[in-house]
Amino acid sequence: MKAENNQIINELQEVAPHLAAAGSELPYGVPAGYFDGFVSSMLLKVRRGNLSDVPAGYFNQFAVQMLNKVRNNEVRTELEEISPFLNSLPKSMPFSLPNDYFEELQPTIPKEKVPEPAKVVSIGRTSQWKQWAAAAAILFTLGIGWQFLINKPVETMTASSIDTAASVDTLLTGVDANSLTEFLEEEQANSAFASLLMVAEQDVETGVTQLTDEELKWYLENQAVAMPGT
Amino acid sequence: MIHPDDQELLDQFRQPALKERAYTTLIRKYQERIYWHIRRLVVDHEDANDVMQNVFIKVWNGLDNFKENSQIYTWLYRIATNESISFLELQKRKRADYSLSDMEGALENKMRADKGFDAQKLEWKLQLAIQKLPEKQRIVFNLRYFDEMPYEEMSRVLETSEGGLKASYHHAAKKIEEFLLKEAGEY
Repeated sequence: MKAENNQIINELQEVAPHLAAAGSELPYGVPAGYFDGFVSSMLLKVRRGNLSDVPAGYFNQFAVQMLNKVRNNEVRTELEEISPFLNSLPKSMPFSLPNDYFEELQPTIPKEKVPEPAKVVSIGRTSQWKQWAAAAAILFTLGIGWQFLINKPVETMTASSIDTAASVDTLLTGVDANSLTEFLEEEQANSAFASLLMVAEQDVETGVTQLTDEELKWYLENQAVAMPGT
Repeated sequence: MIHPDDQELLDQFRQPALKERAYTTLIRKYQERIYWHIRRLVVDHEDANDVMQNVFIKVWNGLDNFKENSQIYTWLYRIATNESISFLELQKRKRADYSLSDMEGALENKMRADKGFDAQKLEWKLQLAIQKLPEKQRIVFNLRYFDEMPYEEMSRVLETSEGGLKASYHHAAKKIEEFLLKEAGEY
């Protein structure tokens, strides 16, 4: 036995002298009384038939542990190629953390969102000024329209119609509405004058020509209308 | 495919009676990983805590619609990364008169304010070096170096090609090494 041991040492001396000089004593220790209790513990296991006992959840975690090891190895190998110096550094996190932060971290359960009722917008209250603005715009538009209606473009009238319209306008300037109404009632039979007023905006000349000179003269004299130049 | 444990959590979450329990279990399961990912990006604990709250509120609101063709933790990382970036963007906007280097300086100051900070310790030097990186490289380096995330998963988290991520990690590692060696006077 001793001769065989010497042979191994000699062989190692030739192959790796430093390794041979290091000796063959193992640095590992065993718990006190380990071997004394080993037999009895084995017997106990055999009797219970639980030789295959493994820690709870061992197989559930095994795959994850193996995956982590493989990953760790992969990352280490890669970094060894890029930066051996960096690969030799410890990965511990130096940041401080409040005591028992993770133990005391209470998950916040967000409150379920209750759909808010649709917001009711009061049209009258919120857009009162808009209503006034719209009303003003409509009035303005009507006013402009009315101006266009009563101020017929001059170029559409003939020279004679302008003169006649001007003279009739002048004549009717001082006549009040009541007397004109009375006159029309008295002269119901004479629908031509009424139609003149009705169509005055459209065709004054036509209306005037439908009245006789006597009719006009009579009316103007009876109503004491001052004729220009008289 | 989703992990069976997570699938079970998801099924429970979709049942009103079990929803809160599943939510609590999910948080307990992933809180540390997500916290440290956020903390490495925003540095300060209070800020990390705020971002954590936002992340898990988004989880509560969005888990019902989670598609099982990816892993829950990949989805969590994506939310956490986006929330952290949004948080940092908000900080930048609040400091509208500050330059980008001032923002980096602000993060470094937060780090130096940590009660355990020791400029002589290698771990802190490493963290300071990481803060010098551009945002994208910082995120990639953290995910690969500390979380040991495969590029395939990282590409789902950051929606970037694996090639681009590898290049970012390579550049980041080289820059950090250069910084640390310069600090040590070996450069």
